[in-house]
Amino acid sequence: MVGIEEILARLQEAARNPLLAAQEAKAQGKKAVGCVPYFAPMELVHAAGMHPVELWGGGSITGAAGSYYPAFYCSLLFTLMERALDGTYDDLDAVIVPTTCDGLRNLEENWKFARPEANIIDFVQPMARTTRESHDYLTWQVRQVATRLEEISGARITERALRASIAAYNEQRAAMRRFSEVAAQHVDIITPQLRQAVYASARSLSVEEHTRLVSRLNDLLESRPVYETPHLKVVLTGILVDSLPLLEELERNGIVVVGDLTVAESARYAADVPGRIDPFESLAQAWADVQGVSVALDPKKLRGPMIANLVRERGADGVIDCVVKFCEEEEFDVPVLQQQMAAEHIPLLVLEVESQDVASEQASTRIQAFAEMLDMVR
Amino acid sequence: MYALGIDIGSTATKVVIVDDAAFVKASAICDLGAGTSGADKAVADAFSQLGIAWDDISYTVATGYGRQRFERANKQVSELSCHAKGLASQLPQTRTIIDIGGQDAKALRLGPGGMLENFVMNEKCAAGTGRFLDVMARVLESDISQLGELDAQARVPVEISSTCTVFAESEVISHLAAGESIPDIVAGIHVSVAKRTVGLVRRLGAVEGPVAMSGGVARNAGMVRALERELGMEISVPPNCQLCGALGAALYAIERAHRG
Repeated sequence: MVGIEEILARLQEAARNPLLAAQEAKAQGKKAVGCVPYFAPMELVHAAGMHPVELWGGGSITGAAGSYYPAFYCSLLFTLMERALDGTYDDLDAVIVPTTCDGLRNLEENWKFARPEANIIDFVQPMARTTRESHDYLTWQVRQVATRLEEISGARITERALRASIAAYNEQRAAMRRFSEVAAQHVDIITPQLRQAVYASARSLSVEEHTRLVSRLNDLLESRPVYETPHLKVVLTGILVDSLPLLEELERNGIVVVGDLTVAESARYAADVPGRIDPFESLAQAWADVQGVSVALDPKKLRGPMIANLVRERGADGVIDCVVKFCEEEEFDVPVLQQQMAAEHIPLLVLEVESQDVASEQASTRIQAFAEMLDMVR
Repeated sequence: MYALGIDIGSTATKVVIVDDAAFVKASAICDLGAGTSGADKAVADAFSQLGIAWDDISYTVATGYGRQRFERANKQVSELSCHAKGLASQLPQTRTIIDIGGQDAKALRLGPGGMLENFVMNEKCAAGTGRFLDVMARVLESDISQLGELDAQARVPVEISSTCTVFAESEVISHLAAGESIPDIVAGIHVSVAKRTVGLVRRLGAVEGPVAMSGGVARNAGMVRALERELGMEISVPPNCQLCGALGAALYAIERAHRG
């Protein structure tokens, strides 16, 4: 029987080597398709019999992408372009690029221009997400992506296969929602870095393997008594919190993570893809159902109330908003979130993050000061 | 028995030693920052004032950029908490603190009793920091300590549009080439920093008074005046404003020493 340590070791391995599972799948004769954030329909890739892998850039900056972008540019997009240029993604049979922001639209075009041999598939989500017209348009987009994937895989995406894929991903979503709760009750084992690894590994492992491992991890954690932590508890929000030095800094300051509303983590598992007669329509509906993240238009500004509810539910001491450096969507949300948190008397730390593993003395100072502030409030 | 607070900044090291009753007994400033011999020199200076040695220090708190690498420290506390404590001990009614250090600018909101309630810091950029002023002073062939005096002589401050240190330096050189007076350029530089700093302060929400300023840049009266104009509020500056962080660290240290 596999234990907690073994499960976490496999998840950490997959988190640290995002292309490892894709390489393993390719070695077995499967094709692999990269899915750039945000909310790409990975179910389509799965239903076409290929291995989907999410691409979040990261790694070192050589400056090659500087030919395409100014210096002050979203590090997520910058490092994605760097990896596209340095050949990291060359073994992928195709890459789906959703275009929820101007930067992603440019990434898609630049990638095609720089690497004409790459199969870049556009997935253009409408900003106004809840009208009938946008639903019809996005359903058409889903079908367009499906057609391209069928051409690449040589296999037809049947409704039956797509329903099965949606069911597999919904099972993973349920397992991850459960993990979010269970992990908050066992922060003695699930440290901030291990928690991140559980989420990050979902980007690379097959949905079946990841769901099986996380479900087993949930069972094992639930069989243990709930751990009442003396540490400071925070909820994270933002797009992604992948910086290991930053997570180490949280640990060094005695801070544990009890929940998140982060695009790369809980937000993507918050709602199941609905079961509709037409599974292509179901995938279109999933985009309309996304809530509480900066990358999906939110006229009702529900992100703040959703975070406040999570803080209360998990008994958190504060919130850390990890804003990707030079990301406009994230920056625009900051003043709104600040007001919403202040109205709820919830301490908020706004922290600038990058998609590389860089240590920052400024970030260390902010985290330490935030911990000291929360400690005084306690 | 004494307690020691040391604030190892990016450009200067500050030391304050307090006695059992939390009275300041010695202080020292050395214009050498983290990674240099500044810490040893500042401590030696403060020790010599009292004729004491490390054996006489019961507890040490380090703060500032170099706090993690000061081996003598019993504890490291962030400079935000230390500035809040140090300044509130001198101006207890303060609700908002502006601290412009060598490489970062901070705005702090204090609650009753000087408790840190919220803070914001500048991003990774030298504009609006003490380093920005250092660079500008060098271009103007002036000493940083003269900027306040030069500002007082200004008639029409020039416009410094750029918020980037490197580009602002080019602008200053252009103004010099155009024959603008140094006082007017200095005043323009202060307005530029003040606009950026007040933008930062407003990220805390509605600015609550009284407002005070700590850090070495607070010694520059021209900078304080520019901030007052931009903010539309009076700003108090405590004596020895540059020592606020070290004083806060020393007060934390003596509290810890008493707790055992």
